[in-house]
Amino acid sequence: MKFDFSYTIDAFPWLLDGALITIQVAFLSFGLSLILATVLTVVRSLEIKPINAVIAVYISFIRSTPVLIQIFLAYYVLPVVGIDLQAFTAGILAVTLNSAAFTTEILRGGLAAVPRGQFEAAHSMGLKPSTIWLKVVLPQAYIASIPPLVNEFTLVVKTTPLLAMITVVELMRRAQQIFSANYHPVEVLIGAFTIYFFICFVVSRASVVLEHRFAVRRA
Amino acid sequence: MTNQSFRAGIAAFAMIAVLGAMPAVAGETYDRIKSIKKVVVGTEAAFPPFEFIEDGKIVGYGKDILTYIIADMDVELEQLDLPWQGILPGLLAGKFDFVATTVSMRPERVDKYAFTVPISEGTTWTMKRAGDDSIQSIDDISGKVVGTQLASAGVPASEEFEAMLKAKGLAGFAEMKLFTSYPESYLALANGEVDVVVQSLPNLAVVVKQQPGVFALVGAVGEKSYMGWVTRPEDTDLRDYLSSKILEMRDNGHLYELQDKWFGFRMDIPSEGYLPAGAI
Amino acid sequence: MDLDIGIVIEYGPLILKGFRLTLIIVFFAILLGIPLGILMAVGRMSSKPYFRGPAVAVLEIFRNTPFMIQVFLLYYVLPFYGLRMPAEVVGVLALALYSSVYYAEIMRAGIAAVPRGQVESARAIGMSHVQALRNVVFPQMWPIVLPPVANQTMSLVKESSILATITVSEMTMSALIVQGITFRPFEAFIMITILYWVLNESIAFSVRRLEKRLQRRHSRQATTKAQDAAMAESLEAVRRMTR
Repeated sequence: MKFDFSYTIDAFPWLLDGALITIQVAFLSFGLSLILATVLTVVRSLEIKPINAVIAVYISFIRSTPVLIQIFLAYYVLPVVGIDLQAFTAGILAVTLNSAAFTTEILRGGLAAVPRGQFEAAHSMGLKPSTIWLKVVLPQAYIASIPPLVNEFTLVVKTTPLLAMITVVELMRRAQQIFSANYHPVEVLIGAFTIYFFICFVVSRASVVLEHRFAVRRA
Repeated sequence: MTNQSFRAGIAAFAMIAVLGAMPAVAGETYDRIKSIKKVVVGTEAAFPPFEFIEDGKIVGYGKDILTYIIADMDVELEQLDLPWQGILPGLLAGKFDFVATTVSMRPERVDKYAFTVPISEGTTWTMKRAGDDSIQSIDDISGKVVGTQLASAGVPASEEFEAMLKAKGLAGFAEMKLFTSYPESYLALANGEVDVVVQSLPNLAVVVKQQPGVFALVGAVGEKSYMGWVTRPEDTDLRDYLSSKILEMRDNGHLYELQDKWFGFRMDIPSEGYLPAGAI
Repeated sequence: MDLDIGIVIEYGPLILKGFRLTLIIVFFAILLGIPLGILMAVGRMSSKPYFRGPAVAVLEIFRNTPFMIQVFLLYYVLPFYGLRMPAEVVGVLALALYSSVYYAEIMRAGIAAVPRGQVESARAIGMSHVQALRNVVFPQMWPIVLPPVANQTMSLVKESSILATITVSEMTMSALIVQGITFRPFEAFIMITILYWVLNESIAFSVRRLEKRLQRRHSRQATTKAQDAAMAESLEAVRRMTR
């Protein structure tokens, strides 16, 4: 077993470059996904049958098909129907839509944790629905959902390497470019592996900190 | 009808038929490039030494040719790095103006796309691990594991090669593995996943040169063929311009300098007769 | 956007061949992954640090890294140790290792759901810890554990698509091949999208049916409220982890 870890060290600056893109993609997609999921959660609560049916189909589609296929659909198939996206945009779109489906379900759970009485109390106080949502309900739903939401963020990070398959130059693709040139895949991949581990590990520890800060009570 | 008007009618009919059979009006890509002073090209930067990534930038033989042409065109360049599977479909879908990546002049392609004059030879060759004495000639590849790139010219070329082996009474391949890019196949060859890589000669020759003692060439498995760049079939004016520039580079010696730089050997660039029959 | 039925007919068989390989790979990954998961669960709960330490380390490593990079590493590392295996076998191994983390959580919840008193009684009549596990705990665990295991199977089916990147000719690879030959991504990807969707929805549907049946059966068993709560929380944790 003769692994030359000087290759790992040499590759690090380039890998970190790619990691920056990974983090950007993850934050952007997760942020957009939170917004979309919030909208869908509010819309779902209106209980309009046909709309809820569409949302159900969307969630079923996302949960039953591989993310890689969703990414390929966004990049290779959308152009066929006229929507031509660059690799980065197609990637963000696919990852956002993917994460939003799961986040919507997470928020559904968080919403259930908000006592029913709060809706009624706020309503009887004369608050507008939009205020009730924004100031009373959603904040509590989010706080109750912190553990699964942070977990979802790590899942988003773990989805980003798939974007290498449509040439987004994030960490995985950087690693591929480097070891294609120096023929030392193991050393380079170990470097990338460590960086991914570090990112996910830090995020999951951050979850513990956030839970303490917001005093999340696990039911 | 009089005899005269009858013959006039035939002549008119013949003229319309001939005009109708002529190729459609040339596409507007070349004019658009010149008027907006910007060109977008598609490249698969995973094809060393023609186009590949070094230090985060696209470099290579093809890139140097592109730089020369862009300087002459005096326009802004946007070079998209795409997976090979998106190159030819992307061209037809209008995602970019032309393909500045090396494309083999396969018979099934030449009537769908307009090829430029060749920039290199593209004869299909085979490469093995150096020191693999079980393969001395291409016939020994019978029963071996062969690797090439998904959706590339290597696939039909390998299939034709296998048919050739079977026609000689030999067994076909043990397995054919498809990789999303050629560098993955070289790695697989080095670690024993595959026994032979099928690709065009210039690429393999350079790989062997860069990894002395790791790889070795075996032999040609097809007839002499060439590789070049590609435009949409209606953009023959753009194609002719690109060809003229490539020939200019050949005639003033610059192209051969680039070949020395990237390959360490020279390849003849014919002015004609490089395309199979039926080409645009 | 026009669907070329000819392509579906001509290349359907190739896609189905990929589908078959996907099923085979997932099957063997489950077969290998569950025992590995049980091993890790037992290791994690062990009081001996030299069992617990490595188990926790392996769990954390596989939980905090993307599957794709685990696959690539396994694919490139094994030849260095002289292990030249077909890509399909590497794929099954990678899937099994990756899923064993989730099976470990599922098994942990399952084991915790069996009333402690039963294990103690089993030890009292002379069974060793391992025998108690095998004869008392595991048989009762399966009904509780089956729905999350089925859920994890859905996850495996989806992750198997990544094996195309190491040349495994499963369903996603076959779609890429069809796209490469025909230059028509629409037909190629729509075919496999439908197959994945139908396959996973069927599993999801069976899970829902199974859960309803088990709810009825479980409500007849005597478990304490605390046990119920603990099990519900573990299963919820597993459901969150699996995609």
